[in-house]
Amino acid sequence: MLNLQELLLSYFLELEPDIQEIVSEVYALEREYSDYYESNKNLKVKIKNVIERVADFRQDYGDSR
Amino acid sequence: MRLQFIRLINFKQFYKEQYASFSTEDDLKVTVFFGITGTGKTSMFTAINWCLYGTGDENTGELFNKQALDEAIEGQKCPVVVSIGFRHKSIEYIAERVRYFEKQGQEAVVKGNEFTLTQIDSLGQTKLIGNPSGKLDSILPANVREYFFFNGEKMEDLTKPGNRKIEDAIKNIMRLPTIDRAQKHLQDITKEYRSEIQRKGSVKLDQLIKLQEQYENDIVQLKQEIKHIDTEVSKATKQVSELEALLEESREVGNLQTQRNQYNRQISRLEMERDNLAQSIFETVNKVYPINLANNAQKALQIINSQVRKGKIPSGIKEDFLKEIIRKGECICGRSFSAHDECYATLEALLNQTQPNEFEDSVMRLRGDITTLSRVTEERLANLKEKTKNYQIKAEDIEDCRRRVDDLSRRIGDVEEVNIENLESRREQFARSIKFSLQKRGQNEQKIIQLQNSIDGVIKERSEEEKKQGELRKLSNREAMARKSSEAITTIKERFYEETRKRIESETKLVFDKLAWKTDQFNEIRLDPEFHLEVIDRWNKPSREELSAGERQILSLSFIAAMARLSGEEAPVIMDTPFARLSGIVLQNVAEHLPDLLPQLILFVTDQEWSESSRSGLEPKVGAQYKFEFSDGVTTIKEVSFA
Repeated sequence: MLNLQELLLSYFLELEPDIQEIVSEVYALEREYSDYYESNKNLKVKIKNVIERVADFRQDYGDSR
Repeated sequence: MRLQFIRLINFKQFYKEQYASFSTEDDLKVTVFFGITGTGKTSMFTAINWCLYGTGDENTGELFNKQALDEAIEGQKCPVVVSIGFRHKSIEYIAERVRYFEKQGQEAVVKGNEFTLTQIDSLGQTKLIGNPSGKLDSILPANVREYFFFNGEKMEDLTKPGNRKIEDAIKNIMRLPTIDRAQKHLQDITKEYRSEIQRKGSVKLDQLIKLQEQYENDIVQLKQEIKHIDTEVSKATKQVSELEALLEESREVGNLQTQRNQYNRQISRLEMERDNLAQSIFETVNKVYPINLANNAQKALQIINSQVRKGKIPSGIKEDFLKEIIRKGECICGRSFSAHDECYATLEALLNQTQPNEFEDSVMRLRGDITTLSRVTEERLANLKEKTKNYQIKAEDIEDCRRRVDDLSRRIGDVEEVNIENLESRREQFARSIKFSLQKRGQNEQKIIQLQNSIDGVIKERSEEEKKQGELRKLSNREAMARKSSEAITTIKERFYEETRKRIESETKLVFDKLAWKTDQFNEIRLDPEFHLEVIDRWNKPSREELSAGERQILSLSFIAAMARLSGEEAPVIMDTPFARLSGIVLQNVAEHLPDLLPQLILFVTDQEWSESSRSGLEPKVGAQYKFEFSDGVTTIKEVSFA
């Protein structure tokens, strides 16, 4: 049986690829900030970067990847 | 994370350098430190917390070993060191915390701190980690650590009614706040993109976005309502099942209570009848008081009857009649006689034999009275006998009814008189409420589908509108990605919260059944959607408040073991004074099963805790054991070999 962290990651795998990429990276960023840093400084910027990277790539190259 | 060793230099009562390695084998995962009170168990426990997380040093003056301080030269800088080696995900680390002291008179003055975390690769190459606290937090977060490193005596606090430690533990260990934050940040970013689109776009686009947001807010509200309905339905379902259990019990008890009431009424009636009989007996007894004269009366009657039989009573010729003949001097045949005649002498003799009339009449009346009295007395005695017999029967009937009432009372126990109709009516109310709530839930779900369709329509219109302004397409695409990600994480969060709740609930029960005794008393362990932990007893009633301190400790242990198994965090469980509140079969159960439930177990026990009961269960799984020996104010860690 999967432990709960593995279960959570398995939920991410059920998402459509673009959304999976964003959600997985955002979750990893949140964990990193929660574990290593005392403030959320620049976290939103980094999340926006992830969204923009994925969204812009899709717009520019379609669903080719 | 599995701890491999600890090294201490002049830490509290550990003088100079001392070392102990922890057992890390899967089948020998227990390390035991034992010693009498005051020899250093808690200091060693503090050393682990201090080294890894910098806590437990509130009284820094006592951190530096007193003997080392005494031997130090004035002004000399002396270090207190604790190093811990551990392995995490196949990588080895050494955490080392150093505090420098300088001797100033009899005081140790703090002169600096160091904390390093060194990573050692498979080739033995070392690398210093740049952010040691952050790295350690990523391995075992400080807010999670307290659930794995704890004082056994205070462990029961975790499951004490009224505190929110369970909820906090679940959220921290399962990293639920991380998901909450991700959700919030994605929602915020979606709004930021929309605001930008509204600023740059046409009026129509602004209106469309507002409409979309309104629909989205409506959906959020409807989902909240559904969540609220689910909570209410869950509560009502629980109430229905509790009421049904109570009804079942009550019907049975109700029947017994009805029988008992019938017997009590019967007792009242019988007692009244018995009391009436007693009064009647009393009156009859008063009426047959001549009974004590009966023998004498019988004797008198016998004498009188004997006299009657002899013809003496009544006498043949009445006294008055003889006197009249004598006075007239004339016989009844008409012949005259004088006082000296033979006839006169005969009459005189007859007169002497004759009883006086008054006496004779009295005797005859007495005879009649005694005869009547005897008959009446006999009748009354027979009546009295009958009543006494009836009285006895009533008394026996009452006694029989009382025995039955006692028997029924024992079977009913302490259950209060219940009103079945009232219970049934309440159950009906809850059942109706569930039905209406589910109807409402269904309606909300339909509305959400309709709103979602409306949003799709708006998004289509938005897309057309945004196409007219080329520069908005990119922004719109980003907003769509942010929104979809936000929705995805919201759905994942709901699923994950529910799955977490269910798994912790069932795993805690599984472990609790292994560790506790009288498990038949506890039906189930429930964790509600708000993560409130409750123990349900065999009567389907919440009983967390009634648990003893020992039972709460077992519940806490079960919960921690469940969390350790489910979280995916491979953390050692370190327990100071773990068995203080446990004894007998519970202690044996814990000693036998706990090591199997955890990745690594490090125990600091008193010599009393390290008893036959705990040793017999634990020893087969102990890979290392140490004794604290205290002498001349310092503690030495001595490894104890297995016999």
